[in-house]
Amino acid sequence: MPIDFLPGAISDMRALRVSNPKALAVVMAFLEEAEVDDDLIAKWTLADSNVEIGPFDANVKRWIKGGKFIGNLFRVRVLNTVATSYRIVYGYDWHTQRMAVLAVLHKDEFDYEIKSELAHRIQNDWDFVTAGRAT
Amino acid sequence: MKFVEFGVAATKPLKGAVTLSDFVAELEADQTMALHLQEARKSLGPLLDSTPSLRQLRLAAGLSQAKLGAAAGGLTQSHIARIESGSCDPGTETVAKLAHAIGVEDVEVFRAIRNQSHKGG
Repeated sequence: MPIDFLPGAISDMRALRVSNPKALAVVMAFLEEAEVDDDLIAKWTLADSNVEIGPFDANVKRWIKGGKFIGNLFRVRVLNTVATSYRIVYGYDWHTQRMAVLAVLHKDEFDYEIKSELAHRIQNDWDFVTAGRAT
Repeated sequence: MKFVEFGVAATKPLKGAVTLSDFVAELEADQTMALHLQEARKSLGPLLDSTPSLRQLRLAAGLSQAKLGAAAGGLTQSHIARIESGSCDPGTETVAKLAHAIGVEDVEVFRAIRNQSHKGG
């Protein structure tokens, strides 16, 4: 499934390129493998709890509050690597059948708080893509 | 549920977005980032299960599907995806090209492909 980066995620990754380029490289290599693995991507978009999904060690979790206010969003973390502390927030757009990465943030920066500036940024990016279709 | 059969579907990117392949290309234009990416791909290989597969050989060489295809004389990313998924049996010439691109003996690629589960029947 094709993966796109929305503006906020691009901004996160450019910052990560400066602060922790090795972690960014792991995130990119991981997403590169996810993009070409349709079994993996299906599991990522159907997960509804805190689950570990192979073949790579990754933990997928549905963003419950985000789902209520923004849309059907998830986060994945790549375990046992230098990128483990980073939360990759993503959503699946059924209309275009593409996956959108909305944020790549250190866990200390983003705690899923729905009223935070980051959540607003994610919401704006997602609304722009889905044009209000996401529920 | 399957969304795409094999490879990356050629649909338009989302509004205002950058595709993964475009962002990877941007990073790989920087030699240091290209090396980090190569090391990162190598680090993912051991996280796969222990049965040797073409995917493992590819990752151990630090290559994405697209990069392996290009290094093997212009095979497409989706062709590599089909071989890795077991839905396409490559000929001996293709196996030789893949082995050369990965930097292993032909027999290792043969063995790896034989070990893969065949989904396509």
